[in-house]
Amino acid sequence: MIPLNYFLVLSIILFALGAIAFFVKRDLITQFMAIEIMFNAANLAFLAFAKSAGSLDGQIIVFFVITVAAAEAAVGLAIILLIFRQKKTIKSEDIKLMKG
Amino acid sequence: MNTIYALFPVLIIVAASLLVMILEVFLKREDRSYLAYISLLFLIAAAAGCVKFWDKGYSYFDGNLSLSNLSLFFCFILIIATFLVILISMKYLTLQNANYGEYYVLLLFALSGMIIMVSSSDLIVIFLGLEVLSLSSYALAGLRREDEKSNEAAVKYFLLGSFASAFLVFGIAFLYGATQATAIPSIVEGLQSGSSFGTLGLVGLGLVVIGFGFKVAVVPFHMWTPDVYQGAPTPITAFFSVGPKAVGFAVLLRIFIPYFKDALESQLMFGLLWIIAAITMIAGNLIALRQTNVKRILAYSSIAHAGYLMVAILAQDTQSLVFYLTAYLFMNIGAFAAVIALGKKDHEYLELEDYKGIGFRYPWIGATFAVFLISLAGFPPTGGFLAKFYVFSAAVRQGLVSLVIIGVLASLVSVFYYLRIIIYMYMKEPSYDVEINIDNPSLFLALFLCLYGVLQLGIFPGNILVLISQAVAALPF
Amino acid sequence: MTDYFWLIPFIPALSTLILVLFGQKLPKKYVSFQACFAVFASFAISVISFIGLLQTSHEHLPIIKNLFSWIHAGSFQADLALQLDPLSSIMTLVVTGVGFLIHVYSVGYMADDEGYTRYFTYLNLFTFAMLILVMGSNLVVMFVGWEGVGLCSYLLIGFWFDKHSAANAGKKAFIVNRIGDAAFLLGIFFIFTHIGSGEFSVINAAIGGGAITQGLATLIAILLFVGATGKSAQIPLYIWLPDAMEGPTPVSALIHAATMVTAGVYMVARMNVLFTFSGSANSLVAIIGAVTAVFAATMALTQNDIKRVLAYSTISQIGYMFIGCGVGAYAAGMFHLFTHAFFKSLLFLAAGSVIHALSGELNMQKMGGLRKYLPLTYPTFLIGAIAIAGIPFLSGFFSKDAILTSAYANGQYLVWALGIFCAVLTAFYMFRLIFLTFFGNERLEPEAKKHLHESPPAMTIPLVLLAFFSIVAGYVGLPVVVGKDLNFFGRFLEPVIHQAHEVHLSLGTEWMLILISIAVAVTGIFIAWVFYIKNPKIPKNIVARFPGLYKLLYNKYYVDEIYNTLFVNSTIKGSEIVYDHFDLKVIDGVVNGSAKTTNFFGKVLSYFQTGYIKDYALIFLLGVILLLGYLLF
Repeated sequence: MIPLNYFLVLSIILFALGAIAFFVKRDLITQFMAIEIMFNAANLAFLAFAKSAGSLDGQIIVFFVITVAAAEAAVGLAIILLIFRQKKTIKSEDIKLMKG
Repeated sequence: MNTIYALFPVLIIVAASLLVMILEVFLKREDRSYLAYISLLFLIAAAAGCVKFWDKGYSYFDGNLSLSNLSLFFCFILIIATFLVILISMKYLTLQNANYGEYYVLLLFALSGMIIMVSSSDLIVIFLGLEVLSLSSYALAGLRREDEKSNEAAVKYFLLGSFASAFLVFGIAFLYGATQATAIPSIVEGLQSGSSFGTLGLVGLGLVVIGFGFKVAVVPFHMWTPDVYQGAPTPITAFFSVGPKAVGFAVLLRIFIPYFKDALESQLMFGLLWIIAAITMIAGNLIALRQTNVKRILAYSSIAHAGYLMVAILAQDTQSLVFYLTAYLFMNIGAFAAVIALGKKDHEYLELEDYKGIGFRYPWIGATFAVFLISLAGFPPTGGFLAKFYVFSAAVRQGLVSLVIIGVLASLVSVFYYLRIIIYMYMKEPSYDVEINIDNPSLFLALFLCLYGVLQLGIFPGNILVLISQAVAALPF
Repeated sequence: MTDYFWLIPFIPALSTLILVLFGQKLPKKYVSFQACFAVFASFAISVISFIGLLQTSHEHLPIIKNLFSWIHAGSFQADLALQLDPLSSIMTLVVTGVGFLIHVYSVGYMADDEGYTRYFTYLNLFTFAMLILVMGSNLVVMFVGWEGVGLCSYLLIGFWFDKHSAANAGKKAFIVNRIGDAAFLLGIFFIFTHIGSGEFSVINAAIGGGAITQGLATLIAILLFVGATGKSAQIPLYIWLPDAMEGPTPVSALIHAATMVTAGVYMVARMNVLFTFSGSANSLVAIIGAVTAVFAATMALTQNDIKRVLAYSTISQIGYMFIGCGVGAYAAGMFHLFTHAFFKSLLFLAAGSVIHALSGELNMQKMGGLRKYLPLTYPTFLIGAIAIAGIPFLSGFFSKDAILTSAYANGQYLVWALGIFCAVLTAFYMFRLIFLTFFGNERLEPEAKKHLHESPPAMTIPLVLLAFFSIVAGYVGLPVVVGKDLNFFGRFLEPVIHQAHEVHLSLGTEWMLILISIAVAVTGIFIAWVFYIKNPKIPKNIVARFPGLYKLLYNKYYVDEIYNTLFVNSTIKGSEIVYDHFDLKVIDGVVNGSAKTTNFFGKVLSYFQTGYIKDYALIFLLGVILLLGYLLF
């Protein structure tokens, strides 16, 4: 059996990758995908903990998180679409009307 | 008591939003104000429910949704906040071309999410509520579709918001791993019993603080606040500045008041929140000094207020925290209402320059705005003063003297930018004409209600304090 | 007869409300009538309550009217309660009495001003806040009034806000006062924490019962006193008061001479049990008071602006009051507050009358020989000056003497000596002012001379009444040498002032002290006479003969330069400062500097707010890393 720590380390790496990608990438869609990776890292952690503790809770929670992520995708893509319609770009550095 | 009545507040709000959504299809564009009246009616019904359930202690879903007095009090003030926001929106929507039926639907959905958050003590349920709130908020921020700033606000809020949510979920996962639980009481218990997963739990708790810290806008997770506040439609900004902050603190309260009871285990976390509170108060107030856009000033001011509220968490004084939130609701929505009042068709007056001489030209708006600003700055005899006084003296009692000194000095700085608006309104000659649409009865009703709230809380806080003390008597949850 | 004393503050409040809501539509005449009448009604009730209080026995004091329970939950308890006891009764009499006369005077003085209604609204509001301050039965209510008067003072200093200097002066007053208020608030928090109540009676009882240690009492007392130095313009927070003279002159008389600036003295007297218990805080009060008294008096010596002389004189006289409180003679301090309210508001109003007559001229070098043009202003001004100089049979003499005698009796010889020295200076600069203004050659601007006229009756009648009180007010507190039990004032205050011990001097010593103070007052006047009437060349000769001494005074002992060489490391700036006017540049600099620093940090911080999502995420991540790092390591 694979020890719990392996899963944990993987999920932390995934999460960190997502977080780094979020601020390295310049494309709204890619940035959003980075967030999805972070959510999935969390899912992995939930599953690993659920498995090691032998409880079902964690596995059920994952479904909730997946649902939430899907809902976010729906709203998020709509917003990004709106930006694209108006500015004809989805580069995140073009969005800086407000600052200071 | 386990009864389905416990679902009443949520259900009625959800029902209202569904009804509004359906009706919108059948109504002509100019008749959309009926949607507002329907929403208001349902809100009154929900509020009446909250009053009726007081002291009953209803719960459902195995206690995952429970209406303790504290939950009910939070529900109540959130409903009031939404009520006021709808009042200040009605005319605004037609004036600023944002009259979409979705507006009220989304607002009510957001409210239902908040009610779920305050009436549950399970982190997963809270997370779901938070997402209901957030998703509606993202859409609300971008509601003025032709306005570039509004779109920008939506995308910034959305990306950074989901980013923060990811941290929150990850944190919940860690807490689950460390304590095998998602219910706050068991988590706190698990953390305090000091298992082998101590570090894991601590990191999880830290990540949860980040997640909610984003919602309540504490430094350094506040970066979205000014931009989103500036870009979103003004009534929505008023809503953002009050609703999510209140629920965020409601959750932090549930976690940290019991957690801090065990002084030895919680020292590290205490220090962390101490630092956050201090830098939030300092940075929020300092940056606000340099702003010239009134919405941005109020945005930074709301960051600073998050800092004062953090002090209340550290002082472990629920009563003063809840009182502060209540006072903050009235003065902040009131301030935004006054800002909205200064608008005409397709234009809002948001720059400080526009406020020159307003106090004499529109004496009522000027005077009420001045009262709200004075209250935000913490002068007697307003609710803001008493709230701050309450929080700081509770903190001194806990021995947080240096934090209080920082807080008092920071609020000293805050006086400058609040009073600057008043100075502009009363002590400068206007350089151009500011024409506003004065025919706005619902907004004036909201202004009046907020004024009443601020003064009532400042001068006769007795009744509300009694209610609050009944509400917090349920602690720990 | 004391049943309705709680109405005292609310009549001006009601009047304010009416003026706020309908003021713009009301005719001017009605506005002035209502504003004055409201204060007069308060005054009438104050008098009735005072008479009622005289008939009340000590056991029933203080009379507390609990309007409603304000903060009442858990361990907190603060009622919105007003109290009537000898201390608050005296203060209400002063505030409403002097306030009424100044309201009447303002009717004449402000007659042609555009902001007439606004002015009376503020003035009524101020009266309300001040009455709340002095009548509150606990610290929270007092603090409400404390903040309220600060706000009104700010509004009234900046009343002519289109004048840049006025707006700035208002701002400065506000900043300095906020610093004091922050300390004051902290002190209140400490009291709440350790005593659990803000009620004065509870606090006094708790301190008597040993609820707090002496060290803690000292800390609290010092915090409260810092608040008092802000409000009452003492070292180191005095710098706002001279600038506050930018406001209308009646405001200077009411707020910045008679009432608000003495709030600090009232507060110390109110908390006398705490200060006495602490002991060392008391000595600090006495020393700060004495040093401020002398320091401000020397600065008044060379001023040419008639209102600024009076402003420094106010700072100096409040220093006297603090000496009184500091040496434990709270009654004497309050007595001086009482008499000072009359003669200082008289001086200000008379100065206002002079300024009015000269169409706004403030510079004394451009006056002179006015006594024949202003037949009513001149004698009243003279009475005020004699009273403040400490010439026998006028009010200032009795109160000042009471303070100095107590200082001597308590063995604080240094404080006493400073007080005596200050008395010489006071007599000198007051008569310098008189001689420059009313005697000698006419040095008027031709334009001003054309409009020269005595003021209307609305202004002169208050002057005459105040002059009358400046003469007789002292007779309520006669010294022991005149008769054993003639100090009505002191006996009236006895239930409030918990004197630890009373030191009695022999009659001989008392006489000696009195003679010394008379002698110094006469000396001061005599020197002024020699300098400015007999041989007006002397001042110039002295400047020529002792350029060092003159410069030393003019530069207030080179405090600036010392600070400069020590901290700023620049001697070049010295020559600039020679020509600059009196003001503690260093403290001023700290105020401005801190404003600059906060602004700078705000700039730096808002620099991070770039508008890029990427940067926001970066800061977010940095926050996360720091936070987790803190938790893990």
